[in-house]
Parts: sequence; C-alpha cells; structure tokens
Amino acid sequence: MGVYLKGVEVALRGLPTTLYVSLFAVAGGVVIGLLLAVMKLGKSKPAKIVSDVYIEVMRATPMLAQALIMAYGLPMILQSNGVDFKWPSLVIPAIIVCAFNSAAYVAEILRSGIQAVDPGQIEAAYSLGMSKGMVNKLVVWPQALRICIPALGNELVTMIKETSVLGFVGVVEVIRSAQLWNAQSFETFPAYVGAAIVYLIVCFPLSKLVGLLEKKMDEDGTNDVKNDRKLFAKAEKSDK
Amino acid sequence: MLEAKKIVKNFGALRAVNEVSATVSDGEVLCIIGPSGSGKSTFLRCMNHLEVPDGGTIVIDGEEVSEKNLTGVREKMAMVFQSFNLFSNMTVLGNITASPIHVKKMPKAEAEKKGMELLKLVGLEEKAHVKPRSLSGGQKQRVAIARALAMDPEIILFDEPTSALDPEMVGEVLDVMKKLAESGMTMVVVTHEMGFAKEVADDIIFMDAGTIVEEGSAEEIFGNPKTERLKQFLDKVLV
Repeated sequence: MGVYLKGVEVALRGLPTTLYVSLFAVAGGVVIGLLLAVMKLGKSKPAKIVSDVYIEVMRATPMLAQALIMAYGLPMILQSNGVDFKWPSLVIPAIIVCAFNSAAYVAEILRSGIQAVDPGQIEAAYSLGMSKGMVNKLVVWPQALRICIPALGNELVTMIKETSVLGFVGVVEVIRSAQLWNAQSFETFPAYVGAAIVYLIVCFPLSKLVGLLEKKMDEDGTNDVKNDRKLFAKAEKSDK
Repeated sequence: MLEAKKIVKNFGALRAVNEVSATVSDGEVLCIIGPSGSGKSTFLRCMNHLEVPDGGTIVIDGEEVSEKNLTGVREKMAMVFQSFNLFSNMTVLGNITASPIHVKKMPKAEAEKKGMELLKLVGLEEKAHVKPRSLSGGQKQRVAIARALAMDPEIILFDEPTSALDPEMVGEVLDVMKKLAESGMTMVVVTHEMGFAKEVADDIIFMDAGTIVEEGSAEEIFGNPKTERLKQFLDKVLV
C-alpha cells in the first residue's frame, strides 16, 4: 500500500505544473480563439481562410508533434540560421503550444455559441436603430459567452489531461514526475497508477462542476437556454 | 408619412414581393391581410430594410431609406415581431431602456423613468426587474410594444404580433394596440386578426402571391369585396 501512496505523492509533485500550464493555456486559448472566431464569422474572405486553415491544421495534428516542433524544432532552425535562441524554460514553449492548440477548439466553441444566439433578437436590436457594434456588445456577446461557459469548462478538463504529452517533451508535470520516479525505483505499476489517480481526483470533480453549471444555467434559463443549447449543438454539428 | 414605392423582393427564384406600393399618412393605421406566403410580412420587413428590397424605394418624411441613413431611419420606425424577440440577457426594463440609452444617448435615470411609464401604459410595472423568460407570451409582447415606444417612433411596424400567442392572450395585446391607435400612433400591422383590422384600420391591403389584390377601407374590404380572391379568403377566415 505504501508504495502506491508514494506513487500518488510523486505524481502530485508534478500537479502544480500541469495545472498552471493548463490554466494559462486555456486563458490564452480563449483570447486567441476569440480572434479566430471573429475572423471566421466576419466578412473578410482572407481572414476567414486564415482562421479555417489554422483551426484545421491544429486539430488535425497531434499536440505532441506541435510541442516537439515548438520546444526543439524552433530553437534548432533559429540557431542554424545564426540566431542565438534557447528557451529559458521548457514550460514556456509548453504553454505557448497548449494555448495555440486550445485556441483552435475554443474558436469552434465560441463560433457555435455566437451562432446559437437567437437571430430574432439580433434583428430586433437592429430594428431599434442599434449599430452592429452595439448589437454585438449588448446582445450577441453576453449571450454567446453564457452559452459557451460549460463547453469552455470541458475544454479545461480536456487540456489538463492533454498536457500529459508534455512529459515526453521534458516538462516535469504529472506524467514526467511518475516516469522519473519509475526510472530510479522500477515501481512501474504504482508510478503510473499514481499518476492516473492524480488526474482522476482533479478532473472528476471539475467535470462534475461543469455538469452542475450546465444544469444550473438550464434551470435559470428554462426554455430559453435549453433552446439555445439545442441550437448550439446543431451549430457544432453543422461544422463536422 | 411613409411611402413604399414599387417594392420588389426576391428569394432566389421566388418573387416574394412584386412591385408593391403603399402609403401611410401620419396617424393612420394600415393593416395588411392575406394568406400565409402572400409576401405581406416580407413587404413589412422591407419597410425598415430588415429585408433589403431588390427594387423600389421606401421614403419616410421625404427621406429615402438607404444603407447610409439606416440606423437613423430605424429609430423612427420601431418594430414588433411575431416571436417577441426580447433580449433574454436583459431585464424587462433593460430591454426597454437599451436603445434609448445607447442609441439616443439618453441619461440612464431618464430612460428608466420613461421605461417605467411605458410599462405602466402596458400594465406591467411590477415586472420591470424580471427577465423576459418568466413572462407569458402576451406579457412578452406587451413589453415588446413598450420597447418599441421607448424610441419615440413616428411609426410602428407590427409583424403578426398575435400569431404566436395562446388564444386567451390575444386580447390583452390587441387592447394595447387599440389604445395606441386611438392615441394617434401611425401603425402598419400585418395580421390575421380580422376583427382588429375591421375595428381599427383606416386602410386595408389584401395581398396574395406577392401583389396587392385589393385595397380599401374596412367597410369596402369586409362589406363589399370586389375580387373573387378576396371573397374566397374572407369566406375561409371569417367563420
């Protein structure tokens, strides 16, 4: 039993890194994702293409490959071109890659949320003399963000689990902590079970919380939000 | 005064509105009746360019509506929708004050005071601080009318305002609309409520297949329909 506790304890040492990489990644992802969603829904064709290509490339390549390119490929190519560049810490390219990766998913979440806003309300806003900027600020964004909150919570849960690939890039997060201990103790089973338990105790309550949030919003909104969410699901499907 | 001149609107190959013209003088109530799909709602939506016409012009107070003066024109021409379209992220009072505050730059306190007066007018003062979702359909539509009035419009466009309501709620909304008409508000009303049209309209347009089939006063339209199409229609709707 003690050896399993030790496994959990070792994995826990990597948890702060896992958590702050995930949090920064999703926060950065929301900012970049917002930009991508606006580009995708806007009138400019080139902006739409850039956003589409970005989203497709990010979603169709594994984050491990993206992380290896950012952490090792980029400094290498810069150095061979005479630029003296080295990451001061591997956590930095890790956060950047996770944020860029998350942005592609967040962009899709936000796009679906924006499209789920009742078009009748948007028309009503225009009919009252509002400009496009006012309609967005007063009607579209507040409703879209509310619709998106549970999906963004799920994105955080996904990101916490996804950051496990960073262990293979050399970032000492939960998985890497377990690996390092395994290498010196050969307690392979307890090491990796310990890591899994740490993910479980973080992600399980978090996804329950997201579920509660979702339910609470449904109750607050009764039919309105249920309807919004139906539209949201439809908008998400239409993309696939 | 609002003039629609030879309005054309196409949806793909379908010509929904075909060279329809109408004039609404100040203080007048124009009702547009006709079967579903006759283009009456589309024609109404062309008036404030929610549908941009493919041909013809809309002139309000001598000013032709275009993309350039659109927001200004819409301030003068409020609209009430079939599905209410209240902003679900705002309270009832917030719905009413949003446009006066942001579009007309009215001070918040003044807008709220006026909003409360309008809520009193439609009999819903006690609902000022709740979200629209807790209201019944009839209450929502009365709030939507108060929201339209808050902009001090010269004319209000009603797009089938009672069609989405339970039968027992139709009356409360029509009562408010009658009050407005009596107070001299200029109104264009697309409706299936023949009783309302008969009682309130100064002028009635009967549309079918994208064109005006017949136009006249309530007595002329209901008392002495000239065309076969209008007779058929009235036979079906007036039971």
